[in-house]
Amino acid sequence: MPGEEERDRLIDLLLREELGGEGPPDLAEKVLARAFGRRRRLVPWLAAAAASALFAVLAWALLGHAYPEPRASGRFVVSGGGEVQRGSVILTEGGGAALALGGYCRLELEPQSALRIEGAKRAEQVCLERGGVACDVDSKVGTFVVRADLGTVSVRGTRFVVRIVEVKGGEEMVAKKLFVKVAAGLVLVSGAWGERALAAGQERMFEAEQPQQHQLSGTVAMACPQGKFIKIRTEDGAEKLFPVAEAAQEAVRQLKSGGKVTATYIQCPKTGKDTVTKVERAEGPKPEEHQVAGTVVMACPQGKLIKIHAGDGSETLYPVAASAQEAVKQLKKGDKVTLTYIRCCPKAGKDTVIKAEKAS
Amino acid sequence: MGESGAEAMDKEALAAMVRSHQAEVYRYLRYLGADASAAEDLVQETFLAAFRSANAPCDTGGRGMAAWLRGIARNFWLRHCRRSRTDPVRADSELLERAEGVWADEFLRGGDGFDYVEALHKCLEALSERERYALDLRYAERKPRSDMAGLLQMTEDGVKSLLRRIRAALAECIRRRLELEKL
Repeated sequence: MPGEEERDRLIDLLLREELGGEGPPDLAEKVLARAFGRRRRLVPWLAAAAASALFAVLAWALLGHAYPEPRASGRFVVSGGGEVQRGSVILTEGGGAALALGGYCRLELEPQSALRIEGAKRAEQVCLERGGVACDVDSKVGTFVVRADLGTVSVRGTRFVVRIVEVKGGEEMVAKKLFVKVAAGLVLVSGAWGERALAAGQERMFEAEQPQQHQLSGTVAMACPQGKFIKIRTEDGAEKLFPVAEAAQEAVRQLKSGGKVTATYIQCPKTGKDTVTKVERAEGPKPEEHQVAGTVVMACPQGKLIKIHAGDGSETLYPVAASAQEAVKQLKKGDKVTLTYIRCCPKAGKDTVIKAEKAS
Repeated sequence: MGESGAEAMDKEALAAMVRSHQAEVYRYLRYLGADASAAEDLVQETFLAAFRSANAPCDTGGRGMAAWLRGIARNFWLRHCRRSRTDPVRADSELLERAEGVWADEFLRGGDGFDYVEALHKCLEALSERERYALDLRYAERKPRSDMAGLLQMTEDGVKSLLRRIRAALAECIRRRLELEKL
């Protein structure tokens, strides 16, 4: 098989890394030193002085006086005011901020971020509540952890970025994902997915497990006009009231009491309540579609109503379904249009425009 | 340091480029056959050459840059093999092309190889106890083949064949997993 030898070498290499811990070394300093020149060697007396100074610093550190307090610079505010210290929440808005922890963790907080300083001496930890942070952690000094709702990123000397990505799926349905990108070293990301190691050059989006979907069939006992709640009566007579996710509210607005439906619902991660994400009518064929062509007499600015002068001389005012309102907003008096409408839209009780196409 | 390099890339940009790509370039050189020490030297040569070149792709973090750096690393590896009079077969440019094909098409698959490593983890879980034991002896405990032969009660050649068979099975398992995921 072509490439068999190469494939064997590839697997051998990955096994050395995965099972034997033979990861790629960090050569950045060596490359930079060769590209930009090394620092001049210290003359002996200067080296001795430097050694004494280092000894003094180490002694000072060992006595426990020198551990640096958290420091921040840039454009930030401390939530609730006060000094930057452990327990503080640092908020950035338009600009970013830099944060130094323990003398070995340098953090760059992205704009629109919120980060709480936690941890202890040589066990620095932050909790990323919003936004993103790039971290540069010196090795062999202490541990460093970035916590977030979805998981925890632990390192021992590396450069990496952690970002919380919010994906809006509806009013109460903000799905958070955790993005981790490693520039150097190795990080361990743990969460609902278990533990994953990410090596230099790798990036990954982590997300919480998808909530389990359930279905319930029955008749509509109540559908609120705004589509935000629906009560379903099952065959055994039990009734259940659900909040409705934004994505399904338009469909709920079209329902009327007594109609048969199948609702798909999940447990909302934010509220903990069973929330309908999809409703499907279980009865009757789809309403028949009709078309009429004419000239626009009036199109309301919100796109909710349109009146046209048809070819037979009649003028008709139509309510417009949400799906066609954006197109209707673009129309003006005198435009030639073709409207697609359905008879007896359940909610409006009138012929309702579901599509509006401007004649070219 | 050439002037074009200094103009094309400052210290920050070079540091960012090295940190983004050094792991992949190092792995690639090891995959081509370089030992750890040669790979370290050649990684440095690769980035210094990239730094001095005026032809670097604009996006220092992107896949185009990764492919460009692999090309430089491959040339340095060829030169290294010729200088050290390594077996000419290892430095054959046709073999290197084939190696690049497996690396780019099967391992990276347009990304950074994460999916491949993830699939490897899953496939390791599916190995038999004896196969996993053999891999742990070889890779985690770094036992010489003679010790492994004693522990596994087989000949040294048998150990060599067993390890090769396990690696082939892992490669096939990974290929099937990635194909399934693509569907």
